[in-house]
Amino acid sequence: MKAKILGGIFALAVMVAAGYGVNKSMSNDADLSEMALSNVEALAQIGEGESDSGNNYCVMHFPCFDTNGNTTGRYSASSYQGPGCNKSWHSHSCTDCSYTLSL
Amino acid sequence: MMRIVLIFISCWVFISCSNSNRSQIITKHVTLTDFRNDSMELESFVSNARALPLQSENDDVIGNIKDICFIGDTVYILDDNTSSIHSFDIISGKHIKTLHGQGGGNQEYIQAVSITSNKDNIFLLDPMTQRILCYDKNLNYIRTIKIDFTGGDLVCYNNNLILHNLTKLPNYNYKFICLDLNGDIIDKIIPFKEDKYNSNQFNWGTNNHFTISENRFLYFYDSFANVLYCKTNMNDEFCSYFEVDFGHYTIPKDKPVNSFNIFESSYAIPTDYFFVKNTIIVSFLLDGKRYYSFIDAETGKSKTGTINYSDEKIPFFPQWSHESTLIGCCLYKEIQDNPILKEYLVDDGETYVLLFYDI
Repeated sequence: MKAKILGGIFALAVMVAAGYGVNKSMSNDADLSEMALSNVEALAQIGEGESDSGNNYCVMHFPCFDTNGNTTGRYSASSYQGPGCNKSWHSHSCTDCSYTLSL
Repeated sequence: MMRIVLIFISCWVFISCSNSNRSQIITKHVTLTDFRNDSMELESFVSNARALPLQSENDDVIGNIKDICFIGDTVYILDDNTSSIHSFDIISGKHIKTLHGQGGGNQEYIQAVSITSNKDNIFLLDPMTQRILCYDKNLNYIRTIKIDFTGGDLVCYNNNLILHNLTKLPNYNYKFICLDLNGDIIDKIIPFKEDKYNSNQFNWGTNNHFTISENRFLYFYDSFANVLYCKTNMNDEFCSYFEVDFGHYTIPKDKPVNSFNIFESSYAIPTDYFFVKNTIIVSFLLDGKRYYSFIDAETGKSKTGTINYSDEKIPFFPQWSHESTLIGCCLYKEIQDNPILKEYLVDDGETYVLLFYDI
């Protein structure tokens, strides 16, 4: 009797583990439409705008350097999803930037 | 009863291993002073320099090199402008393949920010979709690894993936997250600080956060931080390996990094670290100028300053390292008269050239 109970627990554990694995595998191939694809595609473009997907976006600025590694006064920017940020996004290649000029 | 005890012990061991709140030990401390007016000759630390023009056989033009990685004699170039990956043979200089993988499909990426490799695969980080795409060495798609946070940089180390985490989330309250190749978390390193150093809406960023030494130790650093961390094995604890003190040029601890234009400030701003031939190389900015500090990892002795350039010298601005070589890039037109390019025929002056500096 004891062996049957232990066997049952083992079988249940195997099923739970297998189910978790299948779920994880499926989520890895999740369709990008679930991620508000149109919005993230827009974010990859140069420009700025407001999120229409309800997501919040942070902005990160990177300095642009000359060939010898000195600063040029220009910056590129990219946006990414993040908590505590706001609805507006802002992306551009190396240029003067009003965000950084205000600092 | 014995089985229950064994199960309990196993669970306890498992839970204990997942706790990464460990002590950190500063092992070495280097103070740099009076370097503002110092300069160095390139020949004093670069024994040899080589060039590799990145010419493709089709119409693909590399617009801006965002990241590179290697498998054997093949270098893989991530182009920021076209979001493409190009592969080249570094011995012959021959272009091998270009992958235009940007798009909305499940096997495509929106905006690639980093690539890394192990001996068989290329891994590409797409923070927009919070995914890592895996390719074989011929740039054929293999699979996708889903992550639940926004990574800004990626390295493959001992067949694990370590990401620099951009956003502080309840389950991802650490700056570096280690995953296995299935995407399962195996470690979290360096908790986010509860202060202004991590502004949510406006952030300064740097591209690189990792460097691997010739003896295959991983060194990593947070953006603009003056501490270099070390990990010798994925199963070992990490340690604070080196702390660089820039004297009165050090960013004050109470000064919010994101509150001022750090790239035009009078503070020393570290952007990259390299570890080559037992030398720690710190690349940093002061007053908008590029400085380097070469620090002997054993003795802590250092030499710091800007680089002196003469007319025929190639530019020195390494952004990556591979084994004992530092790697930078520039446009062909900027060095076209230099003797290191005499064996190459390049038509377009806008062609990117990889520069290899042997230390």
